[in-house]
Amino acid sequence: MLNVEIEEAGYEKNSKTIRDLSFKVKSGELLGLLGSNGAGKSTTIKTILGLVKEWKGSVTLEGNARYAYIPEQPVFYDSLTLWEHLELAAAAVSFQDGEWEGRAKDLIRYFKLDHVEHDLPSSYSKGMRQKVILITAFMLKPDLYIIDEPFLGLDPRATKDFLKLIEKERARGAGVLMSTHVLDTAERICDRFVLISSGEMAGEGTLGELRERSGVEKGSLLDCVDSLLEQSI
Amino acid sequence: MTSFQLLRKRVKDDWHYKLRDMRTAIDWTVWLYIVIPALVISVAYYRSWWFIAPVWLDSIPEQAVIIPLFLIATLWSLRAYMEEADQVYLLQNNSLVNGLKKWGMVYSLLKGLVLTLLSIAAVLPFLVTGWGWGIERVIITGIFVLFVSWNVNVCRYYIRLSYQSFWVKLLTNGLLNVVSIGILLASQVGWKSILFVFVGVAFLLLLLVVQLNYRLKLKGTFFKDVILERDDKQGITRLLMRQVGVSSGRTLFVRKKPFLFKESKRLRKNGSPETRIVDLYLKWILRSPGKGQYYLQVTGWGTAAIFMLPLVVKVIVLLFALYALIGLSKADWREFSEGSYAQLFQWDQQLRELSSRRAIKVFTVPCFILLSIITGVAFPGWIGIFLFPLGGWLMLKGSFRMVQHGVVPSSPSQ
Repeated sequence: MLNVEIEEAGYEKNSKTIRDLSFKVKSGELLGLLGSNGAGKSTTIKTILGLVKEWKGSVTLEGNARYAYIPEQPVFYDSLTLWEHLELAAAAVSFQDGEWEGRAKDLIRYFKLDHVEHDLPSSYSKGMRQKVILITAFMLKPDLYIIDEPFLGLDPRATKDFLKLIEKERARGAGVLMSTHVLDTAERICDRFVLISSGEMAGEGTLGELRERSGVEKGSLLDCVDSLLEQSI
Repeated sequence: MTSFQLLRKRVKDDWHYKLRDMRTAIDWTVWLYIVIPALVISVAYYRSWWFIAPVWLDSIPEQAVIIPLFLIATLWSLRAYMEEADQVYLLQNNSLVNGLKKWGMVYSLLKGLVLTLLSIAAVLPFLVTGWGWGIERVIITGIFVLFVSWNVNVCRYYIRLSYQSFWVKLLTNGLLNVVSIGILLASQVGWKSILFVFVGVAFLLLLLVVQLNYRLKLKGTFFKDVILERDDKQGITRLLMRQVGVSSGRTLFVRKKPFLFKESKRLRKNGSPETRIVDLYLKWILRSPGKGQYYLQVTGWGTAAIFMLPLVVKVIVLLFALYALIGLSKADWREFSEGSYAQLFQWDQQLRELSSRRAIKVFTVPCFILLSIITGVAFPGWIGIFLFPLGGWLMLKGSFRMVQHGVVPSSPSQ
């Protein structure tokens, strides 16, 4: 689904934030992108999205695969309503009328935003704003979800609803690349992990493989990550 | 640090901030070609009015002078000089907070006094040379203007603090202005009566004391005060940014529903993706006052220039307006189609290209055709009415063909 081979990438010409990153996201797979603050997770995601100018390598999406991006901070237009945001997203990917409205209505109801459907998201709380982004992504039914710290701002109920939808989408065959700090949740839901430390790969594989590499037998993901980060310093 | 020292530091910072903004906007060319000539001309006229009043003054009733006096004297606002970071430390120190509030009010009222004196000084030649006012009447008018200015701006502070709706704010401020001008008009009728002056000033003083006292006792306004303070501090920045079509950031009250096209109603029934994108772009512009205002300004100033300037310059203005309208439309479309939300998904590239071609025409075509018609009307003889709209249409077509290649922004996707 997604093949990432980044030789180097950064925001300025002579300052590279990430180097030698290589991983794949397969159809129906959830890959967790892990690392401490400033490790380069967000730069990796931005490079994949084509938002970083200074980079070398290749990022390939299979065939006509489409992606949707869920950023850490919700973003929107100040003067468009929730419904109009969804209308724009649907129009931009060439959905005809009748192809998206039902799904959009269902998702709005699912995330309990039906009472503010025609309000401006600038008047929403932080959690509600994050839901606007989730609704946009799920409505588009992409082949790949690129998600940056999805749990920030969501209440436990909304987090559970979000994870249920992710499971459904994976069952449909969608791949998911998810950057997160919430390691206990990541341990439960991710198939494989990529660990980044100081802009370089410090580990990759399933939980079993990470345990083997870190030498922490029967340890949690947190223990493995901690040990691998120690080794990489 | 005492509350007075804290206020002094904040006032100093505020002045630095404003001066920096002014320096950004007014460089040496603006000083040389606009500010200095305007100052020289103004001083020369002001001096001449002390000797001979202008002829046009005869047609203006003397009571009308209260309008410029009122406008100049109320060009300040009641400020608390609170900052967001104050919640960390300052809010725990009641005496410092109250002291800052008090000194902030005193400083604000002093600004009112200075502006009142300036307003009187500005119109003094008209009062003395033109209408023959004596010193007594000037002083009484000045005192009334000062007290009205103080009361009005304290009241405006409460309006900003309390009301969310634009229309309610407009109505209450309008009513306040009408009542204030009514009081000033009354002062022009009753200024000869000592009783009237005494009762009037005592009433305004009492009203001011009540309002200020209430302000000091008012609790729970910290976060609103911070936003109001930031708005006042960034007044010049916002004014400059509005001129280039950039909206200001967080406001005291956030609008829940759009004021135009409520309930997300579509503009057109044709639901093709391209039409939907262009209509959403149109809604986005129309609901952002700063953006729509710029198109109106180009058309308005263009109209005035076309009517007032010589023939050759009219055509240059028309060409410049076309250049400005296309440039503005391109910038707006780029902001819309490359905004953060638009990067959350992959656009259909062909559709993006088609939409961009239509989007830049949405405002450019009506504004430019209107300006072409106006040029035609202003052109001597009847031929201009046919020639300019036709020529304008052909120019538009040619210009759109030329800019098409540069209009479509690159995709954020791979």
